[in-house]
Amino acid sequence: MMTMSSSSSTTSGCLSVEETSEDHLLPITLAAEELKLALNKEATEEELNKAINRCKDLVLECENISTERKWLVRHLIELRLRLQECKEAHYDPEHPRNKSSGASKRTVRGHHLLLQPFLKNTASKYCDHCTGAIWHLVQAWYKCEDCGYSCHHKCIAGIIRECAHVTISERGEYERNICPEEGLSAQQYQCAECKVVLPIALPKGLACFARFIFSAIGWSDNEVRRCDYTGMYYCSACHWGGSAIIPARLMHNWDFVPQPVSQASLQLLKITANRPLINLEKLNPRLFSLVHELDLVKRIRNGLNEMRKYISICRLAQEDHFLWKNSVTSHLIESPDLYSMQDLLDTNTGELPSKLLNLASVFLKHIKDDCEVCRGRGHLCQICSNDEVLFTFDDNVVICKICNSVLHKVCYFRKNNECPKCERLRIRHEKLTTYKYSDDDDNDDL
Amino acid sequence: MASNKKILLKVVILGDSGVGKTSLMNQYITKKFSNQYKATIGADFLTKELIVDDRAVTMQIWDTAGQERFQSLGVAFYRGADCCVLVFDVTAPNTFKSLDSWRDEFLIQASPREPENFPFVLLGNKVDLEPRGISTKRAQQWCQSKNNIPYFETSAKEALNVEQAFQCIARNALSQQNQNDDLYNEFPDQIKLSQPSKSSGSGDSCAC
Repeated sequence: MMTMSSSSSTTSGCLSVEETSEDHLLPITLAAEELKLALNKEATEEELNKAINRCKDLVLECENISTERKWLVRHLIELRLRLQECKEAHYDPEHPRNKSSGASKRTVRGHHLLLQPFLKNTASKYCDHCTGAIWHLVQAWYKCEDCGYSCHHKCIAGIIRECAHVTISERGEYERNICPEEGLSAQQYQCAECKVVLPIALPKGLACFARFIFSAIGWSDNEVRRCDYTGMYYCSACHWGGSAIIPARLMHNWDFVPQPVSQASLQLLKITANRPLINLEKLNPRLFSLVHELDLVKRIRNGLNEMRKYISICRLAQEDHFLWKNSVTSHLIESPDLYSMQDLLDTNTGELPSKLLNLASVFLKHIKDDCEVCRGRGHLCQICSNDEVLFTFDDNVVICKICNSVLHKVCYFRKNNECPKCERLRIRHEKLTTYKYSDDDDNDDL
Repeated sequence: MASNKKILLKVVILGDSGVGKTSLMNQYITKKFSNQYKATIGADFLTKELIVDDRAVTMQIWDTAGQERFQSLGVAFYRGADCCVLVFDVTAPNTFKSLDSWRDEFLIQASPREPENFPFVLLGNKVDLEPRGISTKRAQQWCQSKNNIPYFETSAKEALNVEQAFQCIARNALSQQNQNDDLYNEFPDQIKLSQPSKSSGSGDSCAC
């Protein structure tokens, strides 16, 4: 999904990314050396120094291009990294190696960084601050519980990026405009995130020469990368070339093509994929008439919301945990105007319409067939007095805006759009006001 | 014929909000009373098995919402009712005045075959409270004017007359059902044929 473009850290590039888990296993021939190689994670500085020396000796002893040598070299690097961590811990009282510091949880720029265990994790991980690889086995590293931002312990102090969870919660919606670009000048030719100076693009032939000059005067030789979500420019450390579907392109153009985005935008779009942040009814209602599936989803969701009114107050449904069983609490039913990015994606693939149709049939079965209480709460057309029980979510009905009566559409039109109940209420009200005096006389008798 | 088949009596309780519809039902079925007021939303029913005139019957009692704002749901359960119980609060004259509306609404929406002879029962609840707003005489006069509806003065709180009232309700409901059964049995074909035209006709005349 994303590519690594720079290797500024000392720790990256030591190992190939594709390691199989077998490579980590201690070769049987070296089993006897296990204790001397400081395999336990609590080893002290002194023990590590000893183990490093022992490891070096063993490397020289074993054969060229053997599994043992491969493993030993790898282990040697690991030990050196561990030694470095130990030394860092000396100067840094908050270092996670110092157990008493209680630094397992840190809050920086809205991130809730949690110290990660030294677990072997085959997935490669890169530091969101320095872009270097995080070597799970030996380096202390943190991950934000809210947005997934990951970084080395040593990088915590330098974090620039706000937590994506905080950013989106404060704003409450996505960027509405497609790639709202203002140009490099508006950014003073600096990276939108880390403020490193960005070079302007030069003609191809001059690029090498320009790069030489830039580095001579202290400019980075950074490549300029544009984020399609924010419309701003970033350096390669803040924009790894990852791509994502852009909400604005989806809302306006129904365009599902992933575009290159900065790391910050990528994290934001990733954590909000399932959040109902898009009020399509407000932002672009014409889309419903253009995309058939979307219109279908809208109609089913409105129907489900009407059915929810019956089911949420139904005693029998509650006893049966009906709502819980069918996970009815989701925004899909409770707020039918809101969509998440995932919803729109699933609408396009046809997954969402079929899922909602299934749910609708389960609801309908409860209300119209299984549940006597819900059926009792239906309506009867007061114009034709037919025995058919009508519900507010049926297609062939109209609902009186004044008294909420539910009538057959056909009957209502036949009656010149007059509601019989409203008429009755009006006549009754008139009677009450005219008989008011006689009523008072009545009271006097008693 | 009806003795073999399980008899289900459908009873609907109507009246203004706070007159004690739910309390009366709870007192009759669970023998409990709570001083706390909790508005009923929509409608719901409880059932009770009982013996009426040596016959085992199941009474399905539909408790309804008195408050207008909880009535947005429909009243399809009116249809097929065997007896309608109207309740008012003897200390609140307004709840007595709206009895006519409740009765009319019920007859229109339930559209029973013979509206004039449909069994209603009137309950004046909260007789344990003072002062009285509606006298026994006044309530009885109203009942007489409506084809002699049976009248009971009850207290859900003190379980006064509740058992008797519901026995009467069950008996009236049963007689209503028997009448209907007789009608069906005497002229089964005729009724089936005439039903659509009859029901649509009555609906039209009620509506305006």
